[in-house]
Amino acid sequence: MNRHLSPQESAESFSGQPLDPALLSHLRECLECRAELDRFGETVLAFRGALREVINAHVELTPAIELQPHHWAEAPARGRWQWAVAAAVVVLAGLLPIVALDFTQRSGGRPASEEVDPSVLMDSINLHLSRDLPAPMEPIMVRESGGIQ
Amino acid sequence: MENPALEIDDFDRFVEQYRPRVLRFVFASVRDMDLAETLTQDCFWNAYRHRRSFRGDCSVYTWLLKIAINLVRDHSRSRRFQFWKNAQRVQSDVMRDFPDRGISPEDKAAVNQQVAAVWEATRSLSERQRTVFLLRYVEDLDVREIAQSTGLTESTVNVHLVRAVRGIRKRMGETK
Repeated sequence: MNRHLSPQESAESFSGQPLDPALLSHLRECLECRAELDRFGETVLAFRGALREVINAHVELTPAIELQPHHWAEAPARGRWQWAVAAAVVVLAGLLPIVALDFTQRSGGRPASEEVDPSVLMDSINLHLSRDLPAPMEPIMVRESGGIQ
Repeated sequence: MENPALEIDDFDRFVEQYRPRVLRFVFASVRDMDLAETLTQDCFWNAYRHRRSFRGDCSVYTWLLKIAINLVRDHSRSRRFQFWKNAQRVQSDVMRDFPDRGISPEDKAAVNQQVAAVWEATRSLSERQRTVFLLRYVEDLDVREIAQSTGLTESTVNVHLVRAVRGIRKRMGETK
């Protein structure tokens, strides 16, 4: 093989994927390809080492006091009541239109079929007005015997 | 063979043993130490609550990582509507200034540069590629264990692994 490994082939080789025998034999012989892969391997190792050191230093400084399970055993089951509140909100949201419709019917106008008959209405008006009119004239004077008739 | 589930019964020791490893993976995934601590705590809390359901068909560490991966995934989904980018940028400094290992200042500078380059390159990966890369090259899991932790097939893990390595090398080549 008279070419170096492509980026894809290098990545496959580094990741431990099975390589074509021709590529494998090139990799054994080509110092440039091997050096490139070795350099990347060292970089990844340095990255791993750095990450481990950062975390180890952090863990030494911050002991996991709050991670003890006896603290957790007393922790409230927040999930349950949150679900109950959510369910209550949904039920209320469902009932709201029904309650609002009922309220409108009670306080708002009546249906047309319940409107008062015009003749009944006129009678009641007449009755009301007649209260304000003077009563029919009564005799002004009581007739005495022999008096005016 | 001893049941791995027995490890969880001594919970103090269990936390002490696995906290650095879980924290390391979570920190490398979310790139924010405070958030990583919170998610690690959630991870152990979930493990404690569901310890009876652990059947021991994989190692305890693989099981813990499975929980951690789900937490990181849930977080990154919810985070899409938040603006945490500035906090993430600040945390990048942690990886540029990791503790001195007794090497010469020149070598340390060179190693720091390489480490920072990989750290930045992992940011550009997809979440799945980053997870697979970290599990393989930082946590030393083999492909079968990665498949168990992520719920992917082994062939899919291999595909993501190759893409991740290629992506990181490409990104590092661009930043040189």
